[in-house]
Amino acid sequence: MTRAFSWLLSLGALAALALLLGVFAWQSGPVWQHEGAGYVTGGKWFFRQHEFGALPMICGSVVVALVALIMAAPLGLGAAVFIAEYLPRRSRLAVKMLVELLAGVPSVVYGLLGILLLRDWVYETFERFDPLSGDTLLTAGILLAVMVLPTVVTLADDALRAVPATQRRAARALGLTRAEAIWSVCLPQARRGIGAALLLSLGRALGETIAVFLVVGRQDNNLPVQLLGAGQTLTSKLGGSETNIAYGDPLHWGAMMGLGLLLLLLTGAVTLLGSLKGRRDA
Amino acid sequence: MSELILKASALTVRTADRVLLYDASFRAESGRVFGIIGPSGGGKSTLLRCINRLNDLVPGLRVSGDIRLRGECIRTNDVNALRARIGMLFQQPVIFPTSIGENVLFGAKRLRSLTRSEASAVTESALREAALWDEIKDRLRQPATVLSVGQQQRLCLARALAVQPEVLLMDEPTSALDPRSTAAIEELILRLKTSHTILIVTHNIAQARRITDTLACVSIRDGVGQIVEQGEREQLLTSPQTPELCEYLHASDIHTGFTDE
Repeated sequence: MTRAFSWLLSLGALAALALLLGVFAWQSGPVWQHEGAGYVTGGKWFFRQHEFGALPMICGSVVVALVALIMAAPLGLGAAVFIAEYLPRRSRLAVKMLVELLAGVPSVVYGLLGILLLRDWVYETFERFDPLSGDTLLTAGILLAVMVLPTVVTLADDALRAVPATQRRAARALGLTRAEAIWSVCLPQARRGIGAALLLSLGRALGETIAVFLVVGRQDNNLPVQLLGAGQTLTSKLGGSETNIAYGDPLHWGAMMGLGLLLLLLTGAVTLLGSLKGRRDA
Repeated sequence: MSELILKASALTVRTADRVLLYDASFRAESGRVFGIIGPSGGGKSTLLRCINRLNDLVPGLRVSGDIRLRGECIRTNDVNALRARIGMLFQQPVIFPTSIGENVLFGAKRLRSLTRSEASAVTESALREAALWDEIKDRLRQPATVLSVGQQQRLCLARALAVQPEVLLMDEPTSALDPRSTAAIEELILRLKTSHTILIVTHNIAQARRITDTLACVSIRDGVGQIVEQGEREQLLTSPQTPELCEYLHASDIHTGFTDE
């Protein structure tokens, strides 16, 4: 009975997901008919001329998220090691609570802080590369790094704490130093959980909209060949006013829904991979 | 001729609000197995973990008193070097989730860099000392988790031996094992005691009778764990002087009466 019920609910969840993808696929139909595969590989987006190429935005999303991950991973892992392995239990719980609080700060707040603090800093720091403004892909990447950092820290900390204390004790009893025990016992055993933490953070970075929107520059038709240029991501495009304009025109609307579909597939794949990785760990 | 290796005096372990072990003094000599018996929760493991300073890893645990290893105070030296001189076996074998070969060299390879041939020589001799070589010599690359629990415990012993310690601490090393694996470990203890000083915590009086030379009974007296009686094994087991030991031996007799034979 319980079993049948849980199967039913699982099927329901699956159906909802399929429905979601289905709606986006159906709504984006016109643009696929109009552009074909060129929709994903094309670099130009001029909606008045009915030309829709999403490549700059796909690349923009991926680049920005990767920049975020590259910066957040070492920092977050270092912090997680410190919290899990060095802090006494009581301070660990306090720090963890603070970190999780940071994860819950609304993203528009991060976006405002990005405008307030990060934009000028990026502009001044990299002035000799002559950026047009402080609104760049790099700015968005750094901001995203700050935003996903709490997720990396707290999930990696969980992964490290899941390594049994007996393993640490046995390693120390063999004469390994604390650092050696962390390197050769704790980190290898938490590998899967840490991988999952990074993938889930990547998923979060890919899907983040408003904070990126505020600092990425929203420049269409720029392939992200350099980080210090303004760019556009899937999310910042969708968050803009063009989405409202598009609604009347089936083809234009289809193009926007197509971006949504791509975003869903991208974040879905990364998150799924992350959860699978985490699951096998347990 | 046995030589004094380990001398502990006035060993006291306390937490913020409780004394776990009070005023324990004992001596362990080379070539002899020092057994620690007593009821659960009496402080046997705590006592053992003072010797390689494993208690230092537990936050809030304060250890006072003096332990000397070959005359040197263990407090003043590098703790990791100390632990390399003192191997330890736990109640449950703790194997690292890597290959069998990696497990053997886990501690040894950090002490000195080993060439490939040295590494295999250390691996072989450690596994031979732990009487495991013949069973697994063709399987060194396999994950250590494929071994039975008894084999895993001997692998842990090999891992400790590969570091070439002088002292071996064993915290109920056979309580998780079946009788055959237990016999294998006991045989190893008798063999290793000629080259190592061995301290073993055991719950099993029959085992204490088979393998130990000196015994200490750790029990709760006046609310705190302490060594209530110690001396030669036969003397303690045949004519116990303290009510705690009498009671413990009696309880064990009743217990083993039901389980053995």
